Amino acid sequence: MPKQHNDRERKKGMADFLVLALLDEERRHGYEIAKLIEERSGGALSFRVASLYPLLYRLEKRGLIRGRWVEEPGERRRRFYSLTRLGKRTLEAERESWLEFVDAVHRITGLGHA
Amino acid sequence: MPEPGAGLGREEKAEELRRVVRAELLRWRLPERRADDVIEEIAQLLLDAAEADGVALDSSERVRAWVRGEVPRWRELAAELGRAEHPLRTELLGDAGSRAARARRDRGRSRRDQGSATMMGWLDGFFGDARFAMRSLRKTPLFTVVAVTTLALGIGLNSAAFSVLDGIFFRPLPVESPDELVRLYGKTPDGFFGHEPLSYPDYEDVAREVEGFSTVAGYSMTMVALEAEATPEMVLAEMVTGTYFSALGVRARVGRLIEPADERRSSPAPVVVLSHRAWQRRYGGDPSAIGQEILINGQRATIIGVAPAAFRGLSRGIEPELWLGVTYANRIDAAPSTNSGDSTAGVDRLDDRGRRWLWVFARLDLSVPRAATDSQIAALMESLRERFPESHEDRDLVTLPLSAVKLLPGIDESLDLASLMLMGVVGMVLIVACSNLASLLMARAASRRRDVATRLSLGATRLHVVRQLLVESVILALAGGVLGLGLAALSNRALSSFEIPFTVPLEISLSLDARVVLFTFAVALATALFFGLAPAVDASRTRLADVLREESGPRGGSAWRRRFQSALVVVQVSVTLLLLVFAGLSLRSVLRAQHLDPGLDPDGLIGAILDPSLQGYDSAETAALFRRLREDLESLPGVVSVSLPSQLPLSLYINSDDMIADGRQDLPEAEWPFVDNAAADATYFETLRIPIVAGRAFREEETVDRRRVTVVNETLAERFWPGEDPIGKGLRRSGIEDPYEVVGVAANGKYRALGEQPRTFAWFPIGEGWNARSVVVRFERPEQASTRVVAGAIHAIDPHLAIANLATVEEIISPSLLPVRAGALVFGVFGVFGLLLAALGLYGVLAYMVSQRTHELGVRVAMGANRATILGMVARDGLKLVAAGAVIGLGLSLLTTRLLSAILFGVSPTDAATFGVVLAVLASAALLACYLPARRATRIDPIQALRVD
Repeated sequence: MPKQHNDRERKKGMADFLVLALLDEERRHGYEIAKLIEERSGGALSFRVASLYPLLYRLEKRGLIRGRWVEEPGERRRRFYSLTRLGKRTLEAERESWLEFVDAVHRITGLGHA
Repeated sequence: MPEPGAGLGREEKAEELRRVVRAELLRWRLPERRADDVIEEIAQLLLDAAEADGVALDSSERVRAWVRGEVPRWRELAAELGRAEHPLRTELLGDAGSRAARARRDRGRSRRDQGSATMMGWLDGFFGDARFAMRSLRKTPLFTVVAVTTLALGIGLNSAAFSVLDGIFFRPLPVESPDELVRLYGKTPDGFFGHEPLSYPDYEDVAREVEGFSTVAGYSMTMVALEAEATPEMVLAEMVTGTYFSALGVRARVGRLIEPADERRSSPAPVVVLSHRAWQRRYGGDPSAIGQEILINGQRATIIGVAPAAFRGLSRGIEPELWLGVTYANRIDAAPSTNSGDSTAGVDRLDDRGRRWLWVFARLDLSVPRAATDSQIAALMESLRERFPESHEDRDLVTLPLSAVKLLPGIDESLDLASLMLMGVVGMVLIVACSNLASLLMARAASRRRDVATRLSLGATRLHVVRQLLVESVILALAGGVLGLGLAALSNRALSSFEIPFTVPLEISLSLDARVVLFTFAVALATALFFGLAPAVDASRTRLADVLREESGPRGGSAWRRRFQSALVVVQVSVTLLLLVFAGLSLRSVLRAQHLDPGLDPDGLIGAILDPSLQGYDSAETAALFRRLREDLESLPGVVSVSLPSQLPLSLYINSDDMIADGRQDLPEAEWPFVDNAAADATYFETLRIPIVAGRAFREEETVDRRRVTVVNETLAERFWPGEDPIGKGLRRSGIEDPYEVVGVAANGKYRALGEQPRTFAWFPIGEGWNARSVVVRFERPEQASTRVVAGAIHAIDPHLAIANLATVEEIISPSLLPVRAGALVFGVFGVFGLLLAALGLYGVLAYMVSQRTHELGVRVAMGANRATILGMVARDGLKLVAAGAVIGLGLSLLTTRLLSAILFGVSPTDAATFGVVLAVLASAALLACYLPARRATRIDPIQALRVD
């Protein structure tokens, strides 16, 4: 039981990171985010509505992203998300620590820096 | 993008999705806020996904099926949203602080999980925990400040007290292999002190006969007049055997130390080794001091070296200014005359078996079995007893390890008692501090139970949670420790710079000892860990459901905790009461002492001691000097009268003899009472302003001729001649043929210590035969009294004359107050801290109890209980604990205050007024500590308290 919890927590933390990174490029709506993650990961990662929406909801609650309803001509009314200042800062920090971590793993395992 | 199904239009599909989503979410308690937004967006997402996957949502059926596939468990989704809505539940702490903090923490946590397999990950996690702990401590500043202060006080006071004791008693002396050294004492069954010094011939015999000692050495303290590039001063010197420094393994800082060759009796000029401190002070540490000549008691001596800075002789707490060869004793004795009554004048001290003045120690030769050494000593003593039955009857020799002796075996016991009491007091404060910390940590842990449980249910491992709390406790302990050490360092500096008024220079070197620091840190850390961790482990074992149930239901699970905390309060209150009683008694003693009548008027009185014989004056010259000095001093402006008695009362110089009323001398002398006495001149009583209550003071001619007259004090008159007129009665003094006629009765005073019970005292006419005399000068107005004026008059007669103990009489008699002042200070300081800590502890526990009973109290308020009832209920809880603690504390006090009686005077160890005041102080502190949480309880809003969450 605890192991499952761990996996879930890890995935959740990871997903936060990915979503923030995608929104760093431009503002996007929810489905677009899910699609991009799936595409760019070559299908290795995928989100369904059940996992995607609570994620967006939580990030917004925590002030990392902000959503706004936009109705573009010829399109449905959609909620577009962009990074807040806090979100940008958090993303920076996340990237840094991720690099550190990867770097450390590489140094230890002998991958990279051959 | 494929064409959507034909059955439903785009907007209709969306509408259908919204309906499904709303229905599902409502079943699982959707967050109320932004409900429409949430429904709308989920519907849009579902629509997007359906379009992308090319799913035709052409009927209500298909819409429902699609939604079920995409969101299999609405319950989970709703729960996720709920958690995002109430981040509190997912955090460890009640209020999670800023969003940024939360974001950082989340990052730290996820990173920790990823790296948890490696050491680095663990360390990283530790730092994450540390950061988290710092933040959470910052958020509860009151808790943090109280906890850290509590620890700091405990650690600081403990370290400071340890340093004092260590500095005086326990630090090994700075000599080579101190465990190989033993002290040798002469012992007789009826010896007054039990452990006596040896005579010089005995020392020589021991050195020659006992093979188990590789080196034997001895020393003896003496005051000498030292004149070295400044006005002469009386300083403490040690006369040492030539083997002294080599036996100790002490090497010279500069020059050389005293060697066996210097012990030759024929050696032409005495040699002197300066203490490091004297060298610094007198010569500024200049090596050219070596070889210079100085005057010791008016005779030339050559400085041959300087002792190392750390070496201060073997008498702890007393630092000699210089060391002289032991043969110097003969020069002291060779002075033209000695004080009357000293019958040993003229006999070479180094040859006198009966004069015991040398403290002897030896270095063991480890190759010789201890038993062999012991039997050699026994054989030597046997032969000494045979050869010198007169001086060595029943005499024995005992050896004690150097480390086993602090000052003198006979005195050590009272020192041990004093140290024990100091450590007891410190220990009590430590108990209060630790129990306080314990109850604080437990209350904190209890308030986090719910958070911990929630966190566990959300996937944090127990290890994480426990580590988190552990890190926090460690940080608290470290902060408290560092602050405490600062406190100890400060107090040490203050104590070191504090000059103890005493006749010989006392030197206590205080420094923080690593063992002390480690010990106190360990105690604090153990407390913090145990009481911080135990509840954490306990909490981490519980499940969320239990905690939540417990929260609103009966508080069964926390009962043991409340009982434990209550016990802690009881302990704190009782220990604090004990400390306060000690403080109160000492304080009353001090106040009493300040109002105690010493029997003389010290205002405007200057005192000094002169012994011109030390500097080569013979009897006639000494008498002439004192005569002239009296005239010169009397002619000084502002001087009212001058007296030159043998000694001053309360100055630590005491003379005692066996005396008896004339007519009762048939009583064996051993049963005659011991009477303190002094020799006085005709101006003594008026100069010191000691009232004569009957008869008269001495007349001039009586003192010059030393007639057989005496002035006694009231106590002696009452004891020796109860109900009779003492004037004209005879007083017999052991060893003197004729009785002394009582000519006057002086009012009672204090003679040995300010706190003493009334004791008998007698004065005899001083005559002109005394070498060492006190000089007492009464000035008309106290502000005129100046030691400089007196010193000037003395040095106008002889600039080389050394003056000892030149001070106001106020200063001279103040050491007799030292023990009780020190006691009042120590107990007072510790008592106040104890009270503060106990009040904080009580407050903490009650505040916690109130917070635990919020629900119950809310119900009562809702049911119409009035303010007074609630106030009373809560206060009663607290006061019950206080009462229990007070009863125990009173019992402890009554059992232990007897230990204090040595330093208390004028106050009974069970002084009712002190106990009353202490109880009142404690009760007020307790009432305040109870009132604040009780008042909070009365302000509980029943609506809020009853709201079910």
